[in-house]
Amino acid sequence: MRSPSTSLINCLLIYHHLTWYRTLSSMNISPTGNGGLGPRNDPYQDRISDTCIGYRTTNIIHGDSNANVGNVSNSYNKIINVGIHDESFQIQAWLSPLEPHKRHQDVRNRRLDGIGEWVLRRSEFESWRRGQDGSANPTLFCYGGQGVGKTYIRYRVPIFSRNSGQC
Amino acid sequence: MLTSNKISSLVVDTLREQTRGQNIVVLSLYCDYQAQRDQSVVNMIGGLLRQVVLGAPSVPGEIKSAFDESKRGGGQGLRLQEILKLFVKTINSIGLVYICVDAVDEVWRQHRSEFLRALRQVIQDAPNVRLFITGRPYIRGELDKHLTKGAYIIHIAADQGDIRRYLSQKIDDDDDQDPGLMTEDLKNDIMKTILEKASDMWVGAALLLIRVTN
Repeated sequence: MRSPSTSLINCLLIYHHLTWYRTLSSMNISPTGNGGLGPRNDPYQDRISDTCIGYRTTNIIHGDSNANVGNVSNSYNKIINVGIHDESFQIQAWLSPLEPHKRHQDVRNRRLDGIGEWVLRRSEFESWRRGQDGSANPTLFCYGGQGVGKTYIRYRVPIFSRNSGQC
Repeated sequence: MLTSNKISSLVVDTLREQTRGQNIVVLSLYCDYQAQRDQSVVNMIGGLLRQVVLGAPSVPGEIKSAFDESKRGGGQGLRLQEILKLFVKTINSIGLVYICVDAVDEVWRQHRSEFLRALRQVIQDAPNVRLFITGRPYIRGELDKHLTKGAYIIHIAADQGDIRRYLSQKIDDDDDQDPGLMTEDLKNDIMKTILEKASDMWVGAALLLIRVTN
């Protein structure tokens, strides 16, 4: 019969394998409200897979290599070989569960070449961008009517193109 | 079609391209009514700060200290004033910071005023910030009240070139679904008719009509 500590090590190994695999599959670590693995309301969960590690209660930090498994001891509170990248991920997830950089990538992938470039040529845009006048207003507001908005696009897309996704 | 998020992403990419190699950072934030629950004001400012961390060679010292302190205190998240201060402090050493916020009208109504005030605080406290913001026309009054009085304004409307590109793309996409049905002549006819007769507001309706009549 196995001793309790061996069972614990095995549990930790399985847990670590699982979370390591999920980390690799998404490279996305976010804190959860309940501090552990669990459902999370992610704005972009249809586009990215979901990994939730709460450092607060599990107190397990990922290594980025499978070799780290060898460092697991029978103490639940031992930290596994913390790498600098893991810390950056942890801090990012602590700052916000939102990932605007991923959303940006998603939008730009669906942008057609040349579309909207006239905006960049407007004098208001250039003045705002350069801000040469020290007293210049730091804000540029672009507004568009219902006809160019997201609701309109969402309504239309399924009718004409079944695979084109969101606006 | 010319959605505001495409304009925002174009602005982000263009600014990044133009400022490469300089001490300039371009941050983006896409508001989305489907994600309102996660888009609290703290999370949105945190989302901007997150990109600063992502783009930096190492985690900025101010953020590392705040994280360590939070961990010692039991892992509490930051409050709005704390994260705003941290944001301004962190970007202090950056020459210029462009912040591009898309579709501010999609921020949850209860959070919107607070979010706009937070952005105002950022541009007041950080003179190195330039803010690009998009939204629907009905939001103008609210924006002016909190943020954009005296700001540069551009009205986004699709021009003929945009509509042409968009139509062409959508017709090609549709043809991929049922290959062979769409001839070049038919495509040209559709494009010509729509471009002649439809304002951008009605392009969707015209497309629907074509689909039905076909």
